[in-house]
Amino acid sequence: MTPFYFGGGGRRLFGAYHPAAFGSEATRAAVLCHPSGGEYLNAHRTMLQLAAKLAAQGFHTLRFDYFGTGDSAGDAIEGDIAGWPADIEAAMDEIRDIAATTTVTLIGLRLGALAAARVAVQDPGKIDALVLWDPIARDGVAGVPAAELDALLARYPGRALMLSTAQGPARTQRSSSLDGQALAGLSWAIVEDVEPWTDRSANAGLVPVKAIQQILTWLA
Amino acid sequence: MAGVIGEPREQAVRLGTQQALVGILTLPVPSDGSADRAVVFLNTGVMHRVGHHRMFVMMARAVARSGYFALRFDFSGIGDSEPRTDGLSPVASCLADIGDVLDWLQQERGIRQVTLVGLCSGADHAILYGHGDPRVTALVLIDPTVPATPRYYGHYIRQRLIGPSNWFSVLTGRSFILRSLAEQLRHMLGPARDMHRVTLQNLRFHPILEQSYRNSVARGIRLLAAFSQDSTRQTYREQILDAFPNLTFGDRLQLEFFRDSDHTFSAREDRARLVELVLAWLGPARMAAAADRET
Repeated sequence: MTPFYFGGGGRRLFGAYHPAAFGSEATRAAVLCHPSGGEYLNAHRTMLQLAAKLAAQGFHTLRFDYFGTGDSAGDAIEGDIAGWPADIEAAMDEIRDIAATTTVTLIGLRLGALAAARVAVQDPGKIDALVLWDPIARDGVAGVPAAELDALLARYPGRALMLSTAQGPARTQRSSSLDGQALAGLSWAIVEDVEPWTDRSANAGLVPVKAIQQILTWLA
Repeated sequence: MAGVIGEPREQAVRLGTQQALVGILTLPVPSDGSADRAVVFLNTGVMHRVGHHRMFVMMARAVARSGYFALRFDFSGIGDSEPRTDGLSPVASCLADIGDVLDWLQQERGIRQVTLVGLCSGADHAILYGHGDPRVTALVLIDPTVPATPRYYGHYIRQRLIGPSNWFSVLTGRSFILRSLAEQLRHMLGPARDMHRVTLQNLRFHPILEQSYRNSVARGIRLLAAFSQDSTRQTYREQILDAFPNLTFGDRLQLEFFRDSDHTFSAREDRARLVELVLAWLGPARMAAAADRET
């Protein structure tokens, strides 16, 4: 994994690049979109392991921090959710340059899923697959009202996965997540992944193994 | 905002013997090459290097504006750093990592003097390591482990008598105080006091802690100990003095008590006060260097 900074225009962002495993036939790229606040901290290990496993499966993978969050530039009060889609676009540009690809798989967790959905609406031609993991559904968040998500995701027939976990890596209540039944034409997976969240083979500690495996299998 | 002229810049770095550790180095302002002091931030538990509520990001940028290099890094197996493969215990592994990081700062940036900053377990790692390395000249200990004292038990029990949920904990054996006493009984007879067997939670740790403070005072290391109200391990400002009655800290120790803050300083104004305290205590790097030359 290579840690680095990228982006300009006053929005310098921290990124962690996981190169695709040597010898991978496919050259695909993925960007992971973190949740926010305490969920970001709690899910850090999960996103790291997901990135490592995507890389092992042949994806050039980029994790990054939004402006005003994590290791990226900016104070917390300078960062706002409205700016996240632009940060995701910058991350997509970066990984496309690195991987020499034209499209990117976008994977978002919680609030990161909503921001990823926003980008998917704006630039459907740049995204080859979309994974929304326990997305928060509150009207107005990231500019994507929950009622509109169905229509948005219909633009990705067979290329969007809605993943709902019994206890997400962000340790939040499922009740605030989107009601998947309202979304037609969408791959829908529920992972009852309460325990154990361990992957000793990867020395990864506690991570939601089944949920990560679900994503990897769906993308394979 | 970082990146603006006059504001500190940040670099992502890999360091350590196998380049296995990941950190963010914040460059001092002004960046004229004169800085030879660094502030190093240690993980709190399993939280990665940004700290709770980005506390360490905020603090690192602030000390960099005062002329210090600031390094936030992840211990092996935490955050983005890779696990060690040499079989060291968790505590020994963290201490070895700190040594590697200080070596790197010395070799790459010519750093001669280091302040270690830690919250909770990070503070414990800071005192455990800092007393034995001459490059460490100051320690900022935020809610470090402090052994219980009779006055602590009095406070704790008085608070716990109030809520029915606490009685439920006692009846179901989940009470912190009961578990603490059971821990004492379990470890009282254990002879081992080396870092391979010690965890920060058991009582074998306390004699090592006392010796670490003793060595720090003997070496003249400056200590800033800041405590929050919301901690299960200390309940009053002077507990650290009562817990180590055989030690004379003198003017080496500054004690601060944040009466309204919780353990992770979740309120933005509390974090701002903490940062201001650390900045004032450290002083600008140039002034600290000038003071050293005079002595």
